[in-house]
Amino acid sequence: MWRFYGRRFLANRLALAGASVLLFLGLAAVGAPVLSRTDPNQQRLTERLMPPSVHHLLGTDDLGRDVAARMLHGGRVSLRVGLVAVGISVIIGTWVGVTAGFFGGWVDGLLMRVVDIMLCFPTLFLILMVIAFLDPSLWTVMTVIGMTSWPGLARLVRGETLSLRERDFVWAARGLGLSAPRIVLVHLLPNLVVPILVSATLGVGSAILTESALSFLGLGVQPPMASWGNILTSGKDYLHVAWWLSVFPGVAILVTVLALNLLGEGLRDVLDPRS
Amino acid sequence: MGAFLFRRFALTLVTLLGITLMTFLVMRIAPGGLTAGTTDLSARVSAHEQRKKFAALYDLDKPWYVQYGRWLKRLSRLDFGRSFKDDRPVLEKISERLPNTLLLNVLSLGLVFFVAVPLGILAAVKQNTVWDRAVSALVFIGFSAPTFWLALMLMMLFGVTLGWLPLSGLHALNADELSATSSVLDMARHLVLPVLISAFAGLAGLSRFVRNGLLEVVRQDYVRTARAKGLPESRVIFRHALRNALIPVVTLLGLSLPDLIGGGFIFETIFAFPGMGRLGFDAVMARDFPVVMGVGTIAAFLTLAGNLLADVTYALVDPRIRLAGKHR
Amino acid sequence: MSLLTVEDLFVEYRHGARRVPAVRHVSFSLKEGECLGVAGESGSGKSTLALALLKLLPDSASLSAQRLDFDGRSVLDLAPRELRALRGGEVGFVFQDPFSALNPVLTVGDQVDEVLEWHRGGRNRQRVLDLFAQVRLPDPGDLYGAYPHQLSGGQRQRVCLAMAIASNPKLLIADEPTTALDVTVQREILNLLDDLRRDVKTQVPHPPLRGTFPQEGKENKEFPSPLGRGQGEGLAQFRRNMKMALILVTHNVGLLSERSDRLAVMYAGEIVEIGPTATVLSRPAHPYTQGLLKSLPRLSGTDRRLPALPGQPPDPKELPSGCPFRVRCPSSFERCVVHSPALRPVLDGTVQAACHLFGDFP
Repeated sequence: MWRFYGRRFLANRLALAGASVLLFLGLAAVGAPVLSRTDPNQQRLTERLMPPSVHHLLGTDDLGRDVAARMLHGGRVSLRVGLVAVGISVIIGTWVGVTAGFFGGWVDGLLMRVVDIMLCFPTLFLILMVIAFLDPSLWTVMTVIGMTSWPGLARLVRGETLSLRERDFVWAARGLGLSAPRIVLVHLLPNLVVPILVSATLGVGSAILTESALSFLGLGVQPPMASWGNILTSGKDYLHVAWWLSVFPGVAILVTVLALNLLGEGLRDVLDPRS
Repeated sequence: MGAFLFRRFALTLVTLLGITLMTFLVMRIAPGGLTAGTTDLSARVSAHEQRKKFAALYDLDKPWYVQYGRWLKRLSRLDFGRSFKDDRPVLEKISERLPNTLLLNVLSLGLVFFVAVPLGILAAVKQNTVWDRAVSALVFIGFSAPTFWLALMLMMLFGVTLGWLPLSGLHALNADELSATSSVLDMARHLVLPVLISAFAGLAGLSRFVRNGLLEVVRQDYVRTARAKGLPESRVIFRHALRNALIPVVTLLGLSLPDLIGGGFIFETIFAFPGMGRLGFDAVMARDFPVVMGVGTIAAFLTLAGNLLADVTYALVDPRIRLAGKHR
Repeated sequence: MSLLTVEDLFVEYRHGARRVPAVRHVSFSLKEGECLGVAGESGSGKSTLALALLKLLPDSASLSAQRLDFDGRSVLDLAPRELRALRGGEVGFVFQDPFSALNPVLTVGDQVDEVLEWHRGGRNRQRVLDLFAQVRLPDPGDLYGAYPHQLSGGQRQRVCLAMAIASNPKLLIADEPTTALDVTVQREILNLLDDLRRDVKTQVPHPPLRGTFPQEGKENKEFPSPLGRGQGEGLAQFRRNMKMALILVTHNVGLLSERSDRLAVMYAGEIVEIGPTATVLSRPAHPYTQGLLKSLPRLSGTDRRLPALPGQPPDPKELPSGCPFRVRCPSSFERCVVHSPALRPVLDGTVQAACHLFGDFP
């Protein structure tokens, strides 16, 4: 069965491309300290805003820091934020969705109202509201993104749970007198893995986008720690003189998120039994 | 349809209460509490004075539900209190910004609709051709590109390199001296980039939605019936398939409101666009709580109103809901 | 005179890289005013055949035929415009499921009127109401502005019928028109089909040759043209009214006994037996037809259990060698494994069957 999916995956060129890019980015992020000997935070005020050259492959920023080194370290931050935030969001979203779908009734009604309410707020503003009262740090950003991005997933999981609940094998399990947690763990969750995995892959992409937006606004990862978003912030003020400051981090975000989206959509096509 | 709308309306009321409760709780749970005060040096009133005022305004000595109740009561009179920063009523500050934001959103929604629907149709009708792939590529880039970065790139291209469009604001510095026509033209020039940017992400989502919806509808039996009647393909698509495919689009437009308004917080800031998003962002940075709460509540209300409007429209367009229960 | 001639028709569906045959080697012809019943189990290719006649197959299907002639024209070679004039104009189509065959966002009157708009020179509300009355819908006046979901299944199928006959077609193709309906409604719809066939006056340019019609007597009763519809049109004196031809596709052979002139039995995408309905039903030649008839419930029967046909129809992806029916056939022999039987005249020569039992090979 896994060989069947493996072959289908390899046949899906876009998903394969996405996976390759992500593998490359992942290796670069893990190996960042080895790959680049340049300290991403070392300021050289004599070398401010230097265009890309042999010494500084992607140029330097307004404080004379090497952009290539900062990008490499910023990539670690982005991937970490994406993974941790989605981890939190998947745990909450799955729990809420399964609970609502499986028990139904007033539990379902209450939880879905909460989801509705959460979805009414522009996510970014909700995050801004919360973050404004906390000290912005890497952990705050990851937690807050995770805590605000679960409602969509909860809705999806609830829908899947509702339809699974009516299937024969769940009725059979109930008929056998299995306890609710056991039915959920043994019979429901394995069937939810595919939609959750797809949605999580896409979620990592949107978490990275949110983090970069927050950092861009100065509420995310705080300087001097590098992040693709805050490199862009400095680029914004030097649009006229230093294009490299705003082009490279943006392209990095675009490529990463694009790879995640391609992989997510590809996984959906490969794993969806209906296709 | 009456029953459907009544149910929707009741749900909306519950959600509305939930929104106010949540806004309130977020403010309450904030570390340091509501009296944490501001570090903003530009505040006209001193931090101490502010705190006292705030304590009185929000009944901080009473239990939380009393506070919530009183806040809700003031809210029902659209009284959001006064800004810490300049002591002006929050409602006044919001209402001078809201029209700009609404203008921006209506324009970009319109752009999204009139570009995305034809693109989606093109991709569906020419499925698996180069057209379809081009639209798919656009969709993926639209989903993956950070809007604020796109905004920067467009500013660089049109504002700096080409110098065609103004970089920020809604009016030129000399707007007061301009004639009526050139003042409208001036505003239009200022709106081009913000509208383009805020439409971009929605464009990707909607064209994909239209494409997939149309492909789904084209497989339906009634489309085959239309072909069996000998109708030309254009009529089959535009009269029989598209009507059905576009009904859900109404809902999607309603659901895309929070993203549009949320996106506003970031690119209104980039473009220094005098809208509600910028007001909210500035308030967050200055910890101007009454304004933050006001903007949050209004944004959520707007979204809710948009969703309700979408539902009503849906019911009007779809005869299965409009005439539900009226069986012959 | 032959209205429809089909020779060696093939339909294949693409499933990924594979091509799965749905209709194979189908040949038959239909005379003007004739009713042909097409019977077979689900998956026998009968619906695909019906759709193929008007090239209404989905994009994943490919169609080929030696001949596919309607009224002297080759359907496969028609320009798109001519093909559209055929669809809904000269040939009406009724589908299986009236619940999904009507567009949910357009009124039923509008959907019928659309046929008049394209094939009869313009919309005509009165004519739509007449059609509604003709298919015996109650209160036609109120119905024009009704949406499909407001009607019952039987009423919707009547609307579909009104749509199919709106332009006085020469041929009506009905693909299991009653399968999705309640049993009581089924009979009403079938009777209506019979009446419509008589009432819809197709104008054909030349009087057919005498003796070519199995039911000549009936035909003559309706000649000359009655007053009313069709009168005073240009060359009326050179035209005569004809019954509408009908291809009635069904899985229920019982429905066809009183209705169709000829009967074709399909199995695994092929016609295995075709001939006058009465002959085929009373003296079925092909073992499959025999089995099919034995499994029919009879009103006169005792409480004896119905002998169902043993086994399942073959998977079209993996057809057996030789005769596709041999696996289930009680009288198969060696030759059936090797050779695929072709249709040949059997018994009195009016019936054709594809079975080696009737072969005279060495």
